[in-house]
Amino acid sequence: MASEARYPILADTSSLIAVANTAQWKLLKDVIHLTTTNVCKHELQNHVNSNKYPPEGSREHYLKQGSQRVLEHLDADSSPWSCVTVVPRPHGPDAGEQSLKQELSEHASSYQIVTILDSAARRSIRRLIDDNGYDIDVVGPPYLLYILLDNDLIEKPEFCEATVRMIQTEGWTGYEVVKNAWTSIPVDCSEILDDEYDDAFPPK
Amino acid sequence: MPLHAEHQCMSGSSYDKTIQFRAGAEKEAAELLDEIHIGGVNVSELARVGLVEMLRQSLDEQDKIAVYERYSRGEIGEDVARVLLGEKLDRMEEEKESFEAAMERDTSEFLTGSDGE
Repeated sequence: MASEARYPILADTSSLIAVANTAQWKLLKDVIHLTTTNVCKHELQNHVNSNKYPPEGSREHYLKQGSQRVLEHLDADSSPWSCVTVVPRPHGPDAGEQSLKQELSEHASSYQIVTILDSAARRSIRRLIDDNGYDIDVVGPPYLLYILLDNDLIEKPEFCEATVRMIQTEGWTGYEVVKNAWTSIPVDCSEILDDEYDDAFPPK
Repeated sequence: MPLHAEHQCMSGSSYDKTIQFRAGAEKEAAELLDEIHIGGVNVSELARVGLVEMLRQSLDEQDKIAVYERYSRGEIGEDVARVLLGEKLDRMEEEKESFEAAMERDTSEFLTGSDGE
């Protein structure tokens, strides 16, 4: 069962689903400490319960499979991930984002990184951080894979394959975070990846 | 309604280039509004703003990625990319800055092995 410890990385629902659907999931889940909120956990449970048999390859299947993996991991004995309870519990479509904000407002000093998939939510949390002068960076989920790369736990081709998956499933939302990771590192994934991933890139 | 640009160009900043398209009732409607609206209407300005809006609406996810890829390879100018992507261009820059700031952290601290577990 996940503890209530606060690790330096705070992750939202979509970030967790994004990494859970990559080929690096089995490695990533055991070697990185991270924290999420009870509200994000509830969103994961909703994804699992909302559609019993989503067709393979559909977005619903992607959400359900990713959510199941994350929940199993959160509930595993001695999980290196934690789940903190946010009170009062926010509701509504942006409850996950609100729960991160509430958590940061009370425990900002515990965190160094916030990872969020949605672009608007990232900007909104950056504003909160800037307004309060917290020393926290807000990034997309490719950063979690970058941690593996930076610590020589994976090689560049594996990093490229895992991140390009986010472009394939998330379109521009994924591209926005992945492209910047590639540029910053820098790594030329379009050279490294083979034709199998052509659909993620427009023809040159 | 066929539309063709007279010049295919990298720069969208100069306003001496014209776009021509065939218009029937649309042209009459524009002329009518110019005539009856107090102060008239600037049809060129309306067309520019309307075109940008419709171009952006016409972009799908892959198109956006294609535009940014060409922009990042230096094949199209920022002004052209901005017509199509708008503030998404600024957001990309923000994302880059945030990612680079996060890269400066000691990522080994985030690993489970770092605390002796």
